[in-house]
Amino acid sequence: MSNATVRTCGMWVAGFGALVAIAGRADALQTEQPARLVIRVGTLHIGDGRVVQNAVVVIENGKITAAGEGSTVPAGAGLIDLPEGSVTPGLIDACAQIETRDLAVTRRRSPGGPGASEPQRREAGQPSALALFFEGTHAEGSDDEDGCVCSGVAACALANTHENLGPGQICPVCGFPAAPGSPLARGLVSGVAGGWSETEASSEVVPHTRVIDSLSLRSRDFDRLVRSGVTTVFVTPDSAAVIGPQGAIVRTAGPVRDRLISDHGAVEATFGSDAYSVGMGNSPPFGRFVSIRTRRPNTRMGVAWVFRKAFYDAQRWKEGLPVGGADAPPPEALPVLQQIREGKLGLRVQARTQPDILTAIRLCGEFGVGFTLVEGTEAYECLAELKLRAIPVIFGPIYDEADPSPRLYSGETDKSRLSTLRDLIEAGVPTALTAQDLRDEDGLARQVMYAVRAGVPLEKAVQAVTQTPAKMLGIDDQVGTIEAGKRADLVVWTGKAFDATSRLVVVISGGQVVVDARERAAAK
Amino acid sequence: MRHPVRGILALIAGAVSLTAGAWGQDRTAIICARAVAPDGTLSDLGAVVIAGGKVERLAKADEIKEQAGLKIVRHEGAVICPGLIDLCSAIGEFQNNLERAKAVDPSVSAIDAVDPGDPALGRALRAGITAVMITPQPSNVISGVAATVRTWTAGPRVDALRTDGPLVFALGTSVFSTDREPTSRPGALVLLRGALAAARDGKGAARVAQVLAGKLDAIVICEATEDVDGALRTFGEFKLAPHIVHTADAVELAPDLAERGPSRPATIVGPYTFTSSPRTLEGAGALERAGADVAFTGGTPLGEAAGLRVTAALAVRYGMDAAAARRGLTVGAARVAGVEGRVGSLKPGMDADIVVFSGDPLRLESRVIEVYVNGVRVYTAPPPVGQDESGGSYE
Repeated sequence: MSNATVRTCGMWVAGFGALVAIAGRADALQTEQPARLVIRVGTLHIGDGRVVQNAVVVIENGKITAAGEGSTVPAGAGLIDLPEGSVTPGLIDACAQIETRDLAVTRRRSPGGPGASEPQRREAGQPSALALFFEGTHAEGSDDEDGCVCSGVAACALANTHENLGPGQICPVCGFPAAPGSPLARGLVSGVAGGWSETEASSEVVPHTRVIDSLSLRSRDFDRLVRSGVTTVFVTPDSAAVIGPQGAIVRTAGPVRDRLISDHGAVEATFGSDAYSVGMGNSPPFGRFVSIRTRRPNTRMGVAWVFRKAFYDAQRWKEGLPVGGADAPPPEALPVLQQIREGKLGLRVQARTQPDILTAIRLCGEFGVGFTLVEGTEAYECLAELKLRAIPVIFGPIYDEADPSPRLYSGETDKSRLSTLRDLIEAGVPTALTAQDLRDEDGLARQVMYAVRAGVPLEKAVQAVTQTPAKMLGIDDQVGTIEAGKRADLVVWTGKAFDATSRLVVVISGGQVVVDARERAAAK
Repeated sequence: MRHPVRGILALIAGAVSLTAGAWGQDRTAIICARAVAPDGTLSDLGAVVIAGGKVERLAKADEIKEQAGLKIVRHEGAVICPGLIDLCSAIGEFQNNLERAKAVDPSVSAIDAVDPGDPALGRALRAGITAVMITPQPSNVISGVAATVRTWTAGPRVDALRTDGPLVFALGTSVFSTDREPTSRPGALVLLRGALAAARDGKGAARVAQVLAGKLDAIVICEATEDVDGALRTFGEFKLAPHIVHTADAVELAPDLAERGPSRPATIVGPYTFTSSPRTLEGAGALERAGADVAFTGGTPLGEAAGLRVTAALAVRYGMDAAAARRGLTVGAARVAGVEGRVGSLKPGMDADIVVFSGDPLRLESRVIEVYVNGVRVYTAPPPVGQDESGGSYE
């Protein structure tokens, strides 16, 4: 063998070795999260009201394979060991409003190179919106060189520049002459849909439309939700239409293509002032006689009329009679309304005040339609009726001060009580708890803390954000409790769950750790 | 004639075509150093022989020998390239392509709005763009059919390569209105689903039915990623995968498109400018790495005609493969426009719509030297400032 051949062979061997090394590394990356994961904690909240002390939860292939008392950890399994800590099912918000267009000021940093992942990009941080605004570096809607996307309109709402505007004055930030109470300012104060509506406005009756069609599954709102322990949400449409779109049930984490559980969720109807004030409102555009807003309700009487007319027309359609009139629902809506009457599609009614709740009960009773009450701020006034008719409630949010969101301007939250959830649960009404558009410090985990503070037993409050909403959404065979066979959606806490001194350290979705703050928690 | 330069161009072309006509079987060989090959690479088959307005063959520069009836044009160091194609342009129909009568309006055709005297056509030609796919403005869920026309116009007529497609769909706030439906994304998708379902049931518009039958191609102009999701979901229900036009958050589409495998749609991005955010500029490269065919829109006539090459160059600057970007300017764009059988690649039998660049078309210092349409030289660039006829350079 000549020297040259030896050298060539040597190169081949080295090259092959390098290939093996690369392949080995790729394998290592793929199995970065062990196939079997064990969580050992002091307290296990199963989600159905039961609590187990000194428990382990075993996760394999995305599912829970064992959960209960014990301390043995199988060999070769990854371990999350928090003897002081506790574990709850992944939280479920049965009525989340998702911010599709992210109105808050956020920073999108360009990644270092093509290899940077989207989570890395998002980890780039979201500096305080007010801080960015007052740096004076951002104009409305600018998308500047360093990748900072900023909406000046949102900034004006965040900075309350409208507070000091006199009549007719123009806001220096957004350029709108909007008084604080205008739909625009209203909607933007909390950064959620309110002034801006994603609901189809060509009719008040749009149950044939679907919220999934206006939803970005990549919205950063999902990241906020998962960071606060929420792993499954029912995405609700906003309340701009009397009979609105169908909601969607989605996961907040995991690959975008696997997140959708159902795009044919319940239809949301609205009783109360939202139906004629959310979105651009129902006033016809100035100077035009006829528009798509002509003949639309401006009062509660009108809202009730549209609701009643829609189901009446659906009945006529079913009987083969002609459906007409300027306010007849769109033809595509009629079969969907009939599905609701036949119980094949769920109906939710958002109502806050006692009169609106009672109107909902009365009108749905006329057509024999069952429904789930959403929000129910004054539900404590209607406990007997709700219980008598077995109407489930998705209650919330709870707030102990004036609510800083579009709800405040509806005037329908004045009589909110901290104790409403407790009253509903004590009355035996099946009740889930929702944070709707509220996030982070007012998010769903904090809602549970409010509930406990107002006298709801901890296990009942946990149930209201886990098993109860899972049942309402018809997904309790998959999620909602920590039992063998269920999908591994879990939240791990450093101490007592939902305690003000505990931190949420690990969130698991489908067996994958999607939030891991253990190092940060240990450093504190 | 509205524009003096176009007048001169017409004279040159008229003279050349007369000459060619008189000699009948005459051939022209354009000899450059390299050529943009159909796969987008720069090949050394830099000599292109043209006969009868078509590409006859490709050869290396030194393989072409002088012979009777062969006219030789030599450009040292130059790169010969198929004429560039700008997609989703409004050239020739600007401010005349917005028909808002109905949100579902497949019957209108962009070709009916074209003004052959639009000076933007000549500007595009001089920037090396020999064809543009003009689209109706995306202000309706179904906006009508696009047309692909040559930027070179013989007198008062537009030289159309295709007048019947693709059918242009649009999703996003541009289709919303306050005086007709839809006003929202869900409403727009109800209309889209309704139009496709009606066509499937034999009750819809003929052109939509053709799309369903696979006889007419479609593009969807999407404002946001949720519009892309909605389009792919809705068309997917009908087993269709139209081409997608989306620029701003294209980088977010890459993982989804990578998973789709060979059925993934082609994507059109642009215009990119030097002030676009880096995140936007990374879109083309991310889509290309995800396996999608990427083509460009240069934003004509609102932007300058060179914007098409700037868009491709910035895509490469931000991670796109250079060969893929050259394909996107030429054969990829021709495929989206549905004219790849005639233009877009230097292959025997193709129409000889050719641009001679002083270098790689992706390099911004490369300039257009000559433009040929149907084998006829229609534009010769003046020597650049600082460089005289004797071959002196900037230094």
